Amino acid sequence: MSSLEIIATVLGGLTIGSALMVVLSPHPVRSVLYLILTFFLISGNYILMNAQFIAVVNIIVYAGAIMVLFLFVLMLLNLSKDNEPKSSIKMKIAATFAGGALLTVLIAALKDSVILPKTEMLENQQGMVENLGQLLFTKYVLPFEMSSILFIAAMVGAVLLAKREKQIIE
Amino acid sequence: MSVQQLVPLILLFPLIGGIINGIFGKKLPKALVGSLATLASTLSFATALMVFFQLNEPVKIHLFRMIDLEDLRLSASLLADNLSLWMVLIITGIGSLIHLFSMGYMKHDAGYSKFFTYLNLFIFAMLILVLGSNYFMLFFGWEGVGICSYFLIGFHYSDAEKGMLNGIAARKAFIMNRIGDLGLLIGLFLILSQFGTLEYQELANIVTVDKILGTPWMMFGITMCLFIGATGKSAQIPLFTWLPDAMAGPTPVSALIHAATMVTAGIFLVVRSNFFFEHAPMTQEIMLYIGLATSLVAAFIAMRQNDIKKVLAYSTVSQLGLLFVALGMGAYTAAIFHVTTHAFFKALLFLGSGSVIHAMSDEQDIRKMGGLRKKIPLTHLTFLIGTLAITGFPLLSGFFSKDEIVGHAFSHNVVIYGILMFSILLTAIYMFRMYFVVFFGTFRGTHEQEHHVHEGPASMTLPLVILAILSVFGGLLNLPGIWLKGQAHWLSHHLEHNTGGLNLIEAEHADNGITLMLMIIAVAVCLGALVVCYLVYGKKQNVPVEDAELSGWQKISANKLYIDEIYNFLFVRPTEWLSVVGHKFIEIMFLNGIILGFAKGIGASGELVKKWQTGRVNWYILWMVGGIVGLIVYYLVKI
Amino acid sequence: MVALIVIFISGLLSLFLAFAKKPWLVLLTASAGLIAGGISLFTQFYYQYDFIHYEGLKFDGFAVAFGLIAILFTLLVVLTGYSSFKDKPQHTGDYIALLLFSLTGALCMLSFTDMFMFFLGLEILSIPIYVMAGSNKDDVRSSEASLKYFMTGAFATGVLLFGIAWIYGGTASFKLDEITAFIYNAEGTHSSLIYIGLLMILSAFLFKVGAAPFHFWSPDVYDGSPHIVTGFMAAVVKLGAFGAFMKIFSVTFAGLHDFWAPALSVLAILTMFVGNLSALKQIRFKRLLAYSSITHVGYALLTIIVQSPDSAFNLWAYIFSYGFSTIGLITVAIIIHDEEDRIEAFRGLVRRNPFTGFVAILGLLSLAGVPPLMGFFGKFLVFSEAITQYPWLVAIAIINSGIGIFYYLRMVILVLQKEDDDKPKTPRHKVPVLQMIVLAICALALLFGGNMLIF
Repeated sequence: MSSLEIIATVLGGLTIGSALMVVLSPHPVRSVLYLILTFFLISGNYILMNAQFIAVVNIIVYAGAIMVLFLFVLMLLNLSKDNEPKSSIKMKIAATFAGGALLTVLIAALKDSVILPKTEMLENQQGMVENLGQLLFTKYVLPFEMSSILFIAAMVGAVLLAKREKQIIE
Repeated sequence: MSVQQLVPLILLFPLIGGIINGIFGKKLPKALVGSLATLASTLSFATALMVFFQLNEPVKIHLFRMIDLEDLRLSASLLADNLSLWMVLIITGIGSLIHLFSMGYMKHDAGYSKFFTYLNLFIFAMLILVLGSNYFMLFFGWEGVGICSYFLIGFHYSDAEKGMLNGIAARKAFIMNRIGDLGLLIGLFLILSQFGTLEYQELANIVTVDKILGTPWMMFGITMCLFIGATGKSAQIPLFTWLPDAMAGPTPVSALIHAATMVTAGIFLVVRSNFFFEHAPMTQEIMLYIGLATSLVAAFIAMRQNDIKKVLAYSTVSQLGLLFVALGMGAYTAAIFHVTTHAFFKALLFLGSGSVIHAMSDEQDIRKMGGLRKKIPLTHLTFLIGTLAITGFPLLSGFFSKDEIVGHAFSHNVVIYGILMFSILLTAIYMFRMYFVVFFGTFRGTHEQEHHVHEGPASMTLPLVILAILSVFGGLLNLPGIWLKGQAHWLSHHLEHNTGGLNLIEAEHADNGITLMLMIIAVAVCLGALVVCYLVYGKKQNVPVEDAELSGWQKISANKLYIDEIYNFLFVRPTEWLSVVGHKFIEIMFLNGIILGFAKGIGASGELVKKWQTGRVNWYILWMVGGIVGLIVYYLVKI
Repeated sequence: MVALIVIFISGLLSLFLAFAKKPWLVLLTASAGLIAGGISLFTQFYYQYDFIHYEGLKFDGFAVAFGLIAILFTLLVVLTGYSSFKDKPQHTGDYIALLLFSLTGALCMLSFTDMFMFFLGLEILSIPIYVMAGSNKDDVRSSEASLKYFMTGAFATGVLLFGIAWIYGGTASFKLDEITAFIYNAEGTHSSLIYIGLLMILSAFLFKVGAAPFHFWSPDVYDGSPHIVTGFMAAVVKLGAFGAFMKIFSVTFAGLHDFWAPALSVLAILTMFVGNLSALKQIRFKRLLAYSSITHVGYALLTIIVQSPDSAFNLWAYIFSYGFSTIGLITVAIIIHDEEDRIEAFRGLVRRNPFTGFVAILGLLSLAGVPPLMGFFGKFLVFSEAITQYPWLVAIAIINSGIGIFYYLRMVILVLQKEDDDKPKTPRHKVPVLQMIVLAICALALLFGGNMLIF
């Protein structure tokens, strides 16, 4: 086992553990903090895979912007034990059971799966911004532009939903 | 316009008339409804006449495909040849007159537009029946006239007094006809399985030219099935009891449907299928004897009936029996000739009886009439002509047409001839009896009725006059060769000219002496009956007594040979018993349990499934996870 | 490609034109854009030209055929919804733009050649609908529908991405033709990654089309959304999802047909029964429509299960007929304008507005599959294709059609019935011209479209 593999295993274990804590921790703020930790760890994984750009973007966008937004929302909502939505015991048991079942069958199905042999060695510079940019604006320009449609639709939608109606105010 | 274009028009006019009256009839004024229907029928007749003068060769007109499968092709197409066109002329001609008559007769009826709708539709269906180029079209029209007849028999179903009875009469006609229809349908299937087509011309070619025949049994089966169909529609033993009951319908209906046209559909069917019947001698024999028996039985029953329409109904049955005798001997053209003259004088008699009933304020019992000779002279005169025509009075139409059939019978078998003559004698007796009882003697109705007695409007008398003229001179169509060597048998030659497979059996089989002898006998029978009846009912003014006072053969006759009672015992009771058993044991215990249980099960599972829709997203996602787990488990099991 | 751009730009334009506060201008732009898009879609396919070289989308016959009816349905929905947009003039542009964006996504889903274009298309299709479902902010049910749709949809998206990742892991490609080739070359020796990935993608598709047991969102969402959104979801979204479903499963994963077909058959049966049985007791119209759509999804799945050269056409014909019936019925429901959206509000419609009632009856009978309406021919094509390979499946589908007739006919009877005498008479509904046009188009299509499908 090479040192890289050891690091990957440890990092993977930590990521899963922290992701579990997001679900399991009772307090929402802690959940969010664990989520930020998870994103950092995932970025670590990206770096291991030689995808530096994605790692950085992941931290900036998710851990930075989105998570801070989450925290603000949580604080503004002022969640406490009293007004926390109650989920029934039955629901919890069922959810645990379903999740467990999904995990079990997935493991059972995938335990002896064949991983494809690596066909090409990744270049060192593959995940760098420059190469990525080259690809995005030449070969994959169409998907790149398509995603802009997605974003504009999402933006319009968000504004439409969030904006208060004049009639309601009056 | 060419024949190709004209023939569909014949069908179209009554259809359009029926549709317009059916949809808008209630909103239109009565006069317009009646004129429209009459006009439709008359236009049809005029078109048919135009075709009649143009037609030389049989013309087949393809309208559209109905069923187009690999081994079954049925098309809606028409066949205009001299036979079908002759029938068309009878139907539309008599039909127009009866439409005209109905305009006056039905004037005060609430269902005026409904009546004319049905009447037009009936004409349409009847035209399809005769004009269709294959058995499928025939069947279509066959069922069409059946349903129209059902509607029209039960026309006054909501009548307070007789509504129920009218409904039952209509049902009886319908059920009896269904039995015959089933036979016809089986016959069609047999033909289809044996020859692979239902087109008349193709079948005639196969049978007569190519000489490809089925086994004798197959031919017997086919012809018997067709004949069973014919017994239903044309009221032969054992399916004849519906026709007298069908008189529950309005009188013009009885005249048009149950005397002149629809009931001759069976005759038409046999004539159309003559190429089959020629190869099934056994069926021909059966047909002959059934016709003979029907003729005799009906004439016997008619002897002691007192309802004016019932008498006429039984006489129709009797005449139809006579026609089947002719068909059984292969005298197809003679049969069509008699169909024609019978249509004239029977329509005349029915319309005349309608006029009488109209004059008597809806009284149908001849015992309550009498002395109408002076009160409604025109009706009396035309009725007399009709009576003379049906009894075979010399030189009237019935004389010639009956004579031809009788002549065939004489050369066929003297015994049959004798029985036939006896039946004709009975016919003459009961017809004259009715005539004298109705028109001679003193008036026996109530004062109110006496006060009301009047001749109908012109729309009613005009058809009577026209029909009377036709009844007198109809015989000219097919004069026997004894007087006119060259021009004789015009109708027979005309029909044979271009009708596929139709054989003419020459009436000149016997020498003139025998023909003359037969004529003299027939005249003697007719005149004898006339004299006897005049003495008994005309001069002495005997009035038929109540049924209860009759005895011996008279009682049997008055009770219609107890045939209804026998059928009741043989068929109706056991069926009722079976259906009660079926209801109690099979339906309630078995079927209801299953079907209702099934329905309840579906309803209950609907409730159950509805409960799953909790409205909570948690559960929805849980179900989705469940689905994914299920799919992966499927993978684990499968691989 | 041109069509995609034209439609997107007309969407953008309507967004900006909304500032003019003239709803008819927006409508005009959108309609013009849609028509232009349809024409360019067709001509580009017919004359085989395109002005840029691009990767990821391919407008072949399949995409053009499905795309054209997607555009047509969107046009009908926009026309029929105009009267309700008009009530909020400041939002007309937004709503119409979102519908057009969603259509862009649908077109993308019909023409993708890459898994990531597929994913993008799916998201572009879905996100505007999440918003549109909640566009009636006065109604709490609308917001609820939006949120429910969004949450379950996000879950399904996650599952889909998961599946795509597995497929990538198993085949080392996102390109459909490479995946197809890989599956064919490695016959019988696939790694479990591909199977699991396939099942995940299948689950996501089943969610998107609304098949059991992934259907639970659809009644709530259909019910809560404004009418036109329901119509759009039933016609266009379903069409996009089914198109992609067929592309991926009948083409890309065709080599594994023996594996997924039995599972899909069982789910199709489940879907039919769940949809039908739930529909029996509904009292709200859009809910009924939702369950009926679930049932129809069950029938339409037959085209995917059956491997045949005609499957694509059959699916197309089926969705074509289904879309017209649904849009016609939705238009009728908009005209009736019942606050509670009760089925009961249809009572006596044919006496109040004969033509509207007539179209409602046509739509219902077509959904029930009564000849000679278009729905019958759609069903007939699907069933007759399936009957040789899967007779038992067709038998069950026919039983379900029988059950379905019950609730469709119940509504038909309602439409024909007289109103109760003791209740106040509902006045005659006003029918705007545009909706009249939509109704007329639907009626014509339902009456005469079926014969076109056969020939």
